[in-house]
Amino acid sequence: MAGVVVGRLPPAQRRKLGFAVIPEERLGRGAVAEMSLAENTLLTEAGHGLVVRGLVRGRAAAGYAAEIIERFDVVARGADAEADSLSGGNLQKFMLGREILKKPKLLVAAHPTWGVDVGAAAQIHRALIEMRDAGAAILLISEDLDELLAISDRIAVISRGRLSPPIAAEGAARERIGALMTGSFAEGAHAA
Amino acid sequence: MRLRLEPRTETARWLLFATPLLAAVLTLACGVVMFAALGYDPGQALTSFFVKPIDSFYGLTELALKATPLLLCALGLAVGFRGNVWNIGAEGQLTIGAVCAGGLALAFHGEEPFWLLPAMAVAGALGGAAWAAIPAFLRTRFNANEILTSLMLTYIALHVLGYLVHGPWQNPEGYNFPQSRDFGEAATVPLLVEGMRLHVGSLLALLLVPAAWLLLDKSYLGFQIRVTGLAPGAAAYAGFPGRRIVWAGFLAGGAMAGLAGMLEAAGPIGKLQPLISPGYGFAAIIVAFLGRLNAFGILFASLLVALLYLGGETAQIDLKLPPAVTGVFQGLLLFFLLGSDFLARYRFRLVRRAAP
Repeated sequence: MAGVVVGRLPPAQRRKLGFAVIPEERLGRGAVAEMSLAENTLLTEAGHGLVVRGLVRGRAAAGYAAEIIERFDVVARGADAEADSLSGGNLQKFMLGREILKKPKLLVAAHPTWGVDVGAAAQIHRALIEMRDAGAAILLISEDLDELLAISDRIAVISRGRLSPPIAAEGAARERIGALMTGSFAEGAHAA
Repeated sequence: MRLRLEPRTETARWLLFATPLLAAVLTLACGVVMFAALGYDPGQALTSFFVKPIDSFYGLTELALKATPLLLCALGLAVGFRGNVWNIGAEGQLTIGAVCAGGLALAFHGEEPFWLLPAMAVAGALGGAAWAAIPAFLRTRFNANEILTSLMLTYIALHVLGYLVHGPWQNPEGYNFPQSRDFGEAATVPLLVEGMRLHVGSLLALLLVPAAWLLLDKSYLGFQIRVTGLAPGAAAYAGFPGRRIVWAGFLAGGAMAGLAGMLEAAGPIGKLQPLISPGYGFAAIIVAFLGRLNAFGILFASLLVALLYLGGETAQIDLKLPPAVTGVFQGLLLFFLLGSDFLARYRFRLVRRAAP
């Protein structure tokens, strides 16, 4: 990434380079169920005055969590609400907001709208597009074809361990993507 | 119909405070029944358990003395337990701490340099930490189960101490008793109150309570440890240093246990002997959980368990209660405490078996 080989770097250093990930599992990976949103903010964000001389600034963390809640329309009791008290969509919005506020250069979002209601999904899509417009690269991993066609610029398919050449999402025929999914990269091009 | 256990969705705050009271009531009720059934006067038995040990100033100082090693060990263990680092070997780390501090005391026997006591405290803490470093290394390098390695190292530690006091460190003027020489003045922890056994080590332990609280509840490292314990997946996602957390847990537990061992050897015991601790390192595991892995909770838990120890002894002397009965009574209280704590978080529900 940006000329640095990141494959073997530890997560903290990758983050410093502007690399952010939203994992597909929410509770237990992207967030700790028993912890408050303020504490969950600390999971990937130790800057912004949240950690000073090795000590956690509780009030700063709560303020930062409140900012995420407000900017991304998260429905929650507040910064002290436990992560598992939120609905899937709202927790997803929170996690997305947490990563977006870091202004990453590259965001990998894995199934960001999986099990999320339509309204929240639309908000998440909007947020991702805004990020793209602001100049960030986004790698969206999804199995939802409608989602991919709706918000991606280019689509590539992994089939049998091989990555297809990316095709423009605009005007891409479903049949062509279908052909790519079966692994017939060359034939797929002919069929289109 | 069958019973199913499920977590409570909302754990009421008052429940967490009410459960210890409920446990106390249940223990007293069970104790009354048990003592009466065995033919002892329940009132007298309970008095000698809970009142007599602390009805004098001397009793209170003994309570604090007994609570000190429990408190130190449990505070250190909590650092690991919060992060799912299961150090079961505090007893061994305590023993090695006593050995290292005692070795220093014996090496400077008769010279009495003024820096001897602080040096012994450092040696005790370092010795305990070094002993704890073995399971930490085995876990981080070979993924060996730290429960087994730390427990087995306890028995090795006891044999190391046994060898030393039977052999090279045995008191030459000790009529062949398996003991070292008595530590000199400069190698003895100063007393807090003249005529009592309570020493300044208890004060040190008390000062370490807020320090442990700061580390566990306020520091970023403490946060990383908690995340690792609650959700290892989230800790991996966040990129928290898993190995460093294992090391932190073991080194903190070992250093605190080693310090406790040094204070026992250089405090009430005053020499090395085959048994430094009557099981403080193991009881500290219960103390840590009884205090809900919170520094201040552990302070209260250590006093309670110390009271149970003293009360058991008093009841054995006063009422000629057999040790087994006092042991059962101590077990009852801990059982009810931990059990009611569990039920504050989970509840049982009868579920009808679904029709096939």
